[in-house]
Amino acid sequence: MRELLRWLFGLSGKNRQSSSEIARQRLRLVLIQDRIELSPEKMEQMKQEILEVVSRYMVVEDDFIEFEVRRLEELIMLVSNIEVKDVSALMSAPAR
Amino acid sequence: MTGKTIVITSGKGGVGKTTATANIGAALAMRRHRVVVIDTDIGLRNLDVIMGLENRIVYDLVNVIEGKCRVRQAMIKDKHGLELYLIPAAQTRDKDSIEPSQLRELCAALEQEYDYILIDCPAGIEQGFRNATTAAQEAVIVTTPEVAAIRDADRVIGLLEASGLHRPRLVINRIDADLVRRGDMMGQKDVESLLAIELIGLVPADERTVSAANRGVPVVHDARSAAGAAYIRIAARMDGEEVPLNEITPRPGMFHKLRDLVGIKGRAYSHA
Ligand SMILES: Nc1ncnc2c1ncn2[C@@H]1O[C@H](COP(=O)(O)OP(=O)(O)OP(=O)(O)O)[C@@H](O)[C@H]1O
Ligand SMILES: [Mg+2]
Repeated sequence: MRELLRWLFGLSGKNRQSSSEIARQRLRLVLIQDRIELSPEKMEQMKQEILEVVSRYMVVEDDFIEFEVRRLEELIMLVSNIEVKDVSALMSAPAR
Repeated sequence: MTGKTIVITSGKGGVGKTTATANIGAALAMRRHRVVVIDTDIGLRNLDVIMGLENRIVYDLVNVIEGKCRVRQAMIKDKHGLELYLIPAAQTRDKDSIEPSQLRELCAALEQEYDYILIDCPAGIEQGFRNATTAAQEAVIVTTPEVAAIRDADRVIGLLEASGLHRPRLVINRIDADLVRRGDMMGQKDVESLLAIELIGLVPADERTVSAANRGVPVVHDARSAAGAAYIRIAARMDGEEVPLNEITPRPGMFHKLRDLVGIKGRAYSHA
């Protein structure tokens, strides 16, 4: 009965990823690679290098929240978001 | 009068370009427009059978381009009394028997007399694709909510963009609302955000499309078909009418869950 209720109220979705969600995630990666014609290895390397650079200046999460190549009409944009974990470094940094 | 030429393309084969061309063409003609549909899938002609006109072919697109006949002679009038004409593809030639500039010239001439010229593009991104897309001012991309089809659609969007055909619009075909709700098919929002182009229509998976193809009568003539209704709405949007898109979202409502639970089979599609 608990199972049934849980299912009815859509609480069970967390433990198993739906196939459409998997499709969406696979496509996101494939489209990035197609759009910028970058191999998966090069892509991974670029992510690591960007994280490295940013980490030199602030304390950040060790993976991107978002890392995507998007198309906006004729523009191709690389959109990446990284969570800053510790802002104290930022606050105390001397303003230029 | 100046009409416009719109190419219906996809990259991947079998996603519904020809079906879309026949139905959007018929739906535009039902709106009292003068319409020409051109089958550019040379060697694999199909649009004639979907429209039920295969027995009336005398001349074809290559004959017109090569000057073997006048354009009017190759135009076959639709059976339903609409101002709708088909220029069939040549069956025994290959794709490079025409050049992009030749097809553009033909369309430019047709634009003087007709409101819409729809080009049914072959699958792939080779010569046939270049012919079809070079001739058009606008593009409609057809995809299904599947990984391979969406990937190919994205490639095509990039190629069109690079060749100066901006802002293509998207038709998502063969959506199964039940699969979307169950989480086994990507929904409209997913596909839209991945491809990031304007959506012009959602066409449900509808077996009536198949029986319509068997009969050679486009499904827009079937008043009970959900896919037919969707094509009629797409034609209205093309025509500049504001027709809201009905969402198909993965979040199942209580009703659907209960319905699935007790196994009531409701209408499987939603009209969009
Ligand atoms: N909404 C739909 N529901 C069910 N079946 C459909 C739907 N749309 C298309 N089909 C079927 O899918 C098949 C392929 O359609 P169609 O020939 O239009 O695709 P295509 O993109 O033109 O293919 P090709 O790339 O070979 O030219 C046909 O059998 C058609 O009846
Ligand atoms: Mg076709």
